[in-house]
Amino acid sequence: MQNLAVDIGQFALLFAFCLSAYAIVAGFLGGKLAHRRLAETGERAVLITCGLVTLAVFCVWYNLLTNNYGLQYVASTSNRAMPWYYKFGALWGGQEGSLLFWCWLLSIYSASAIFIHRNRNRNLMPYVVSVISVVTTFFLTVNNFVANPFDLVGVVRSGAAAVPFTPMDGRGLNPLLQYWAMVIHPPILYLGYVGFTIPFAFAMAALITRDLDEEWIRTTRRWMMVPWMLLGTGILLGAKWAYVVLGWGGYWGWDPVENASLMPWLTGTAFLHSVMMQERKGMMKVWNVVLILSSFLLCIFGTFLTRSGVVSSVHAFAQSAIGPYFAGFIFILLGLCCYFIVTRLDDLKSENRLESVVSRESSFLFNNLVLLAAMFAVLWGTIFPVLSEALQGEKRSVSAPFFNKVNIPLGLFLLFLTGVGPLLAWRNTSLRSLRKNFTIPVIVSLLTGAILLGFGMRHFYSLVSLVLSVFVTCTILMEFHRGALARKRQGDNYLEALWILTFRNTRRYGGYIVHLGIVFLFVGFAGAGFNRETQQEMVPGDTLTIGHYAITLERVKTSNNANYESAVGVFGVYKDGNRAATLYPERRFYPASEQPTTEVALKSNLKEDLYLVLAGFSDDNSKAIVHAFVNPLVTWVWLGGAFCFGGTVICLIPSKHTRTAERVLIRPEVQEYAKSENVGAKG
Amino acid sequence: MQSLRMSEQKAKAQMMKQKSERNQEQVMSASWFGCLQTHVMRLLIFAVLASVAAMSIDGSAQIVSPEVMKISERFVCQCGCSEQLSVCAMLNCGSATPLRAEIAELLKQGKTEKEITSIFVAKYGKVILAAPTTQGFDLTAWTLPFVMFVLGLALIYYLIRLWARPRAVPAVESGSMAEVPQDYQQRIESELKNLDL
Repeated sequence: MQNLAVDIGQFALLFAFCLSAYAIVAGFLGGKLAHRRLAETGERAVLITCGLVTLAVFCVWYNLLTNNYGLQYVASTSNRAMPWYYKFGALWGGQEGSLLFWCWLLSIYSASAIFIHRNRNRNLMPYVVSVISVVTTFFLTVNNFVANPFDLVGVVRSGAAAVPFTPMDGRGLNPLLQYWAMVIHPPILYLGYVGFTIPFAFAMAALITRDLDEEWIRTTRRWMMVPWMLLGTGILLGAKWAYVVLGWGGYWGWDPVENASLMPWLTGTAFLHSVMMQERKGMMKVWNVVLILSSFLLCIFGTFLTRSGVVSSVHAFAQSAIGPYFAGFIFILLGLCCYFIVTRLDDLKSENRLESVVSRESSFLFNNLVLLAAMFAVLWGTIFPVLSEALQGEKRSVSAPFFNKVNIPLGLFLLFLTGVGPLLAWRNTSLRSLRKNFTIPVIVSLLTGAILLGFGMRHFYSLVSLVLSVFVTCTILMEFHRGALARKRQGDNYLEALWILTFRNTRRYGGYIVHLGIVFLFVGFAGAGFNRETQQEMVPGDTLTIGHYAITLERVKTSNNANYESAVGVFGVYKDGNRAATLYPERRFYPASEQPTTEVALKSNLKEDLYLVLAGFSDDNSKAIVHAFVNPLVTWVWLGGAFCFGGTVICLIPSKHTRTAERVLIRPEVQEYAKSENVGAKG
Repeated sequence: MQSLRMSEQKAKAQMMKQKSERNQEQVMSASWFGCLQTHVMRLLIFAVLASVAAMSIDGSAQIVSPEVMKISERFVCQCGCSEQLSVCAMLNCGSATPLRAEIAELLKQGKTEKEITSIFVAKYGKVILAAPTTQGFDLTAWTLPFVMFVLGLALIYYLIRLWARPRAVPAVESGSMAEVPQDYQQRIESELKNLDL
């Protein structure tokens, strides 16, 4: 049965590869020759590809769950002792599986796009299908011929005869990956990464057809928002994972893999802002196309960077020789993108016009500048070691001190714009409106600054971050308050008014909620300026003091299971003399991979986290070595992530008058009129 | 690179096995010593930690003083994780642990942070530093992001000037706008403001 599953999986992958290659040609020719039925066969090929890749994924899962260690992938990422949910998650725990998983998500996205657009954007769809299939085919090529999850153990690929061999047990999943977030963090992050393919495909299709009117940008904006939200959530889940599993007390280390995921998120954020300039005023059309295309290219570039071994990273579990394939793919895509942009410049002519420097338009320009500068700084710092080695012959390291120094000022400027930008009016902002909108926030934030200084806060960046956070929060709350008051006058109660207000204009108020999430993130970041840590050797009965916590080691419990051996420290936490909690930091040893790990114990509240690590035992095993941290405001980071997610979900719900506008726009006679008159229903 | 990592892991595994054997010996000798103790608490403590020693979760973790930790921030671990020496999360890391011990030793000898930095650079090369220096090509690492930012600012300045330039507007259109009553204009403005964008 296991062998059958391997054969079915192999066949499904090969067949999917052929169909996907067919879809490239069918989509392109179907569009070019305006051959509707040919284009439709392309769509069907994509749907069947989705089914086949799903089948292959289920085959890998079947082999993982039934312990078929004859498969190289299963043997290297799982073992018998692992619980079933980690075996399930092992699909994305190694190179081959994670590429297959990527491919699967892409095929699901493509099938969804075909389903959603079965009656819309029909002129673009043949090319959308074709472009998506180019990406799918690339991944299927890698999966079939370079990193095949169905390769057998002991098979010699060239030369001598193949000798299959089934080991008794596997090597097990990397212990660092054996954590609950492992089961959800990579899928969500990948959903983000992969999702950028769809806006990319729509942009390419619009460029190919020269059908660059308002409809494609509206479609693309929605398709961009979903992966942007998921990528952001995935990044923060990764940060949470690092925080709880790695045990060094922080959640962001500017690792190349983290940087790789941050870059498309930054360009995506820039796009979600500058797209409003295009929708509202027909401005920056070329720039928006560049942002969409570069977001996708950065996704592929990030994958190349981290999986090729070009830069060293803590995520070393997913490296192999697939780098050249990715590099080649990026160059081809880059060439195509440049070609289509340059040849379509005439069709992308924008109606660029500014009535005033103090306007929403110019604030978007600054917003884009800061986001792109931050992206460039991250990119530059990530590739600098490679460049330095190539040009100077000597390698350099670029880690947290560099990224923090360069990005913190940019981040704070962005936070300032988050407060100012949304309150500037389109076209022109009068002095009166500036005074009306900003007097209270400026006074409140300056007062906060004075109070913080009075309490002895001297960390410059943290202070600025907190003052700006208060400023932005005030501006956002005032916007909600004003809107709610206006509705309240019509008879609603205040809370009801807030609710109706948000859902009548989801893009605007959802956007404010996302901004509030970003503010919370910065509050969390500001806390990092006041982290405290201490280390101590302890025997039961000993007490360690950090901040206003006294932590007593009560005992050490040991246990054993098939997967790992564990030592758990039982610590009584006392705050100002009263028992506040009992914490259980743990140290494990996984015999299958011969690796030790730490399981951090946390006591969190909005003010601070008490973070306890059982770092190990002294050389003679007579003492436990305990590492304690007090990290202020970290919970605000996770809270900020939740707000960003919730706010984006609200943005994605069509508000009442958007739905009406879309219904009007979808009517063919309105589209015809819009085209002939060069006008369109906006808003 | 890959094979190096593999062999490193193998070596580490072997080291761990040896250590675990050693620990078991220690348990035996320590148990003998423990029986002689009359203090019940000592015995209890011992019993707890001895059970740890019997497992592969062995000793070898070391206390790192805050001074060492602070200086460690200036350097990068060479185990391949590319994290700061103060941050490297790998337990018993083959690179971070001895490097931190070296810093502690140098501190004990009375060396200053600056001296330790130059000793490390001379011994391990500039790759050990957590951030590029500010000389030669390294300077571009620091300056280029800001140069790009300033160029971007210049571009925005140029664009604002270009786009804000008054354009020829057909006379009829401007005339028709002028004729729009004041309250209509206000309504247009407020509706524009409340548009779903």
